Amino acid sequence: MLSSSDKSSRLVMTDVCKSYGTTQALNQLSLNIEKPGVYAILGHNGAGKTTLINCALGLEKISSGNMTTLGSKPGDIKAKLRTGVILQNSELPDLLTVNEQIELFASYYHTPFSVTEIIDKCDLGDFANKRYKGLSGGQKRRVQFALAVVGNPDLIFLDEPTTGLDIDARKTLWNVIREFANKGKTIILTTHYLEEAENLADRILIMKAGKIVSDTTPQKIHLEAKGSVIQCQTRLPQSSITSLPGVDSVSKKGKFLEIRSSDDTATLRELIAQDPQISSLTVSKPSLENFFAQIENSESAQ
Amino acid sequence: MNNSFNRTMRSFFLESGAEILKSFRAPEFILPTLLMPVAFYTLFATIVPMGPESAPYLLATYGVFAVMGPAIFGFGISVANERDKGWLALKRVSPATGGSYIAAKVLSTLIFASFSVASIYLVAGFAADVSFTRATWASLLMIHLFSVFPFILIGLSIGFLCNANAAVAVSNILFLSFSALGGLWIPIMVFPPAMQSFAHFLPTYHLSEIALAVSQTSGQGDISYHLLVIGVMTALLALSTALAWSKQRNS
Amino acid sequence: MIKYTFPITAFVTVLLLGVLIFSLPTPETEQTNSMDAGTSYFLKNVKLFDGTGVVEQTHILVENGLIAKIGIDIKQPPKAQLITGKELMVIPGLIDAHTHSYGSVLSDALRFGVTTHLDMFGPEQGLAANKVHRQKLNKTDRTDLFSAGTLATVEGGHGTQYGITVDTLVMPEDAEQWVKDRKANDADYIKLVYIPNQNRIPSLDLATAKAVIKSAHDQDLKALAHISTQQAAKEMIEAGIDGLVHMFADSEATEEFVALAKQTGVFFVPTLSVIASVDNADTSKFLSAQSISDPFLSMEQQGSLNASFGNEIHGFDLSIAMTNVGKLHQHGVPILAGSDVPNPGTAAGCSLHTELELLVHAGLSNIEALIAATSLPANYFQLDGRGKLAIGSRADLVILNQDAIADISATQNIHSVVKNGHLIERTLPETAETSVLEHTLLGDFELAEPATFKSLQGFSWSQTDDSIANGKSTAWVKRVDRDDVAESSSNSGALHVSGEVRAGFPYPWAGASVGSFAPPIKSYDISDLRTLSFDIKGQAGNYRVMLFSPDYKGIPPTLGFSVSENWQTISLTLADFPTINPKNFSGLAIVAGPQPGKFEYTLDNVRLN
Repeated sequence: MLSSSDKSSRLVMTDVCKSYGTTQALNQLSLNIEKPGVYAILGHNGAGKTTLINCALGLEKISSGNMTTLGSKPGDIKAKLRTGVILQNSELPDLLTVNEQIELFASYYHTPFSVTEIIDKCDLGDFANKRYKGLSGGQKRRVQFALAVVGNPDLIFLDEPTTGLDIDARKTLWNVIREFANKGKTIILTTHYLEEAENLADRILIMKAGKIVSDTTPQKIHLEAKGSVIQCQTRLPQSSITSLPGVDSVSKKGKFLEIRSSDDTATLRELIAQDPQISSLTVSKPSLENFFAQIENSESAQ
Repeated sequence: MNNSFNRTMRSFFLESGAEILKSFRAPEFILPTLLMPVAFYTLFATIVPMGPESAPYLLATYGVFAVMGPAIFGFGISVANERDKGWLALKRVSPATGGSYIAAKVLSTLIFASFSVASIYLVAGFAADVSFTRATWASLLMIHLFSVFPFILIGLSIGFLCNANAAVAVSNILFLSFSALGGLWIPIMVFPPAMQSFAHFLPTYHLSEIALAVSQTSGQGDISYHLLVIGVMTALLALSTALAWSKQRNS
Repeated sequence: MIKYTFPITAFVTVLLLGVLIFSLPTPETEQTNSMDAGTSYFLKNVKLFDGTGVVEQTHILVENGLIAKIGIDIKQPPKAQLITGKELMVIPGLIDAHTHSYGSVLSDALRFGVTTHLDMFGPEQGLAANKVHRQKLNKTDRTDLFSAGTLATVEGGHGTQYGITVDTLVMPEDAEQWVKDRKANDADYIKLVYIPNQNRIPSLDLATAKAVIKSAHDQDLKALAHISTQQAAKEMIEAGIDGLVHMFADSEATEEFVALAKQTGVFFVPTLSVIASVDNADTSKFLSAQSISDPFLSMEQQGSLNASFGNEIHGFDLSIAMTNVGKLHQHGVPILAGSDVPNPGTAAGCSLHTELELLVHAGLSNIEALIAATSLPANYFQLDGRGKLAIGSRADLVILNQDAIADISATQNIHSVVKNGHLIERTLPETAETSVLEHTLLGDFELAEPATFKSLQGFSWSQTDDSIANGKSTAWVKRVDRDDVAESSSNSGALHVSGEVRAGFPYPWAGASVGSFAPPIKSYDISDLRTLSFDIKGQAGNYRVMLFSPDYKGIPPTLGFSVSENWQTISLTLADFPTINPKNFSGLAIVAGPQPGKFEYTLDNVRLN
């Protein structure tokens, strides 16, 4: 059934469709993830991120197409033994301690990390003997992550791992995730935090309506999004700014104008010359946020 | 092969341990399920007995009552809860086996039921002057512990079909109506005829009749009839549980 | 820690359950000691009748419910309890081949050394349980039961008058299924009633009776018949019956009959005891004096012994029956001992002993009488391990103080009874408490409700008629005002009783009763009282007062009086009631009958003085 090349692949999807009634959750989706690293699947709610992960785990059956996880049919025990997961909205038993949860979960795998090793790696030492019920949100998510990695898996799915966490908790988790990625694990996470993808991912897959509309890297995004974003308050009308040198587009953001320019030096020079009273001037490199907005716009323009 | 067997056993022991710890760490579960049967039994068998035969009679029926609580609540509410919280889904995508999870819960329920039944036997033997032969005590214990199985299946079905809130309500309704209408609290002979015939549809009635027959305390009718009915009921429950299980997997 | 949780908890639980099971109280904890000593008895230097023959002197070891050893050279094990005495005689536990073993009959019989009953008609509900019970060797306080279950009869026929539901037959085609049903209900053999050619009560016809016998044989069951005439007995023997459970007492057996009986191998259970009672025969000349004063007779047994059938039934002559027994026995026709207890005039257990005496007077030797109550029924009914005392037999035995080979009445001089290897405690059942009753008012009917009495617990007034015995009489009672006194008077109330006595029961009655009739029956000792008095007026005629006691069987003590259309006070002396048992009074009835017809009377101021 499977070609030999598939075996080295961690996640391969070919023309995969998944529909619930008339809703098309995955639409002719193809994907091939072979290498270690962090893969961020980015998209709005309903874009099909969780469906993709559930299909990859075998929790849901695909309607058509081909799909292998770690060279096996999704949900096969061979794949499960090499997979770790944080499911969306999934909680652990309240009354077991962190140690107990990890020891139990480790026993499901053939070559797991030791409990102490995992506690150390995920930095759970401070609350290893506390019951899950008494932990903070961030601590809970780190315990969930510990369960996802305790089996020493090659492929780790994290479905919105940082949703609902404050920025400190989020950053702590990022560090732990990054560490595992550096050790040769393939981590596929879904997020709608652009910052998360930008900071964490080696590769970013942007999903919309069941399709991957962009497969890129944070670096490429920076390259592709040439030029700068200039924000300011000015008396000049929008129409006259459009004709300034280097300007690609102008948009109004509240009382500010946002000017995209492929040659920020030329644009700025002319801008200040035409309106000496210009205020609140900032210049920045475009972020994933902008890029995502661009993609969205281009999609809707089509 | 041996290695994989050891690993499976180790995992199963941990799973059972986790189930036991979960049960024993939940006082709101322990207290009613362990104390209610023994408290009721003490009340009706020793403090206000209704006749000289009421202590051994009620022992047979309250034994069924004692194991029903851990089985219906332990399975119904805890499975529904863990399914709601996504713990079951996480187990399903992990290499853990579903059988190990169920078996661990069964063993933990049996241990729990043992304590519940044992406490009633203690009161019966040492406070209510019930005496049976060694063999009768042992077979009564076997019958009572065996009685958890139909209720486990009922609990599992509840767990698979209801959400956590509904499971609490449904478990309580079944628990109370099975107890009362199946004659666990008062003999069905005092019921109107229609209710007496209704009792024949309840596993509690047949299990308590078997227990009564085993303890030779005025069990009525042929024990093989009750064994047959319980066998059929258990088989039907197993079937419905399997359906509920596949329904929750696909939803 | 979590990895040890399960093994430790499981181990502790199993351990606890084990300890629990082995520390919970058992009935044996008190019995174990006595049982170890009790299940093992060493009967030293006894005379043995083993069911067929006599051993003058031997030892018998009883162990685990069975006869372990017999012989003069066996040693007494240290644990065995020694039973010895001057001239003790050991006989097998007796087998009564004709009983109706309901109520306390089984426990009453055991006190008299009767360890196996062959029931000839009774309810079938308990038979399955009895079958299990009789196979065990546990300590028990009842006689083992084998039973015909119900009997084969027609609707309204003999057997249907006792208030037990009887599955009746209509025609020969019913027989096969009927026998199947008996087998399914755990009957051990089949009994049918064949009493043709009389107009008292309907009976099976010959064709149906034959079909029942054939179906029984087809299904490997013995068929037995209740007959009352020589002609019926002859027809049954010709139809292949295995045994006749009464001796006919209408005519002396002809030579052809004896020859036929001998040739076919049919056996008889003469039940002379009950024939004597029906015949109102004076049996005292045949019997030793001890039975009636026996301290082991319960109140119920005494009541049953003292009761009578009450009316003369033609065709029952004890002397003819005894002559027939003698004739048949002389020609080698097997005679089995059976008492037909607890019919009026007989009582569980003790009547089998009197039956043995009657059989001896009819012509059996003492040892033949013993065989008739031991090995002979065991052989004919295939009662393995019973009726004989050999190594391996069940330890059902009677130890007598006297030699019954020399004097058959010695079977009544019981030293002790062993059942299933256990000595039986020959204690009487606790009788219901009786309170002594001083003069009392049983009814002045002043209150609207003629209900219960504060002074007489459990007593109340109600109508009574023979419909409770499937008769057709009816009666109504209602409280009325007396017409001869002012309404304001304290004696203005009375009880009006009306109804109709109809034929349909041998001794029809209808009227009003006061007393305790539903269990638990309450009874009073009225031996200090002399008279019963009451005011009555009504339709002129003869009426009767019947006295009840909880142990009554058959016709209760009855006295008649006459009523006129004017009020009169009747006063009856209690001592005039025949066979009254004043220590055990549970009620009385004032009734019309037995002559049929409508009646009505008004009753007031019923007193015992």
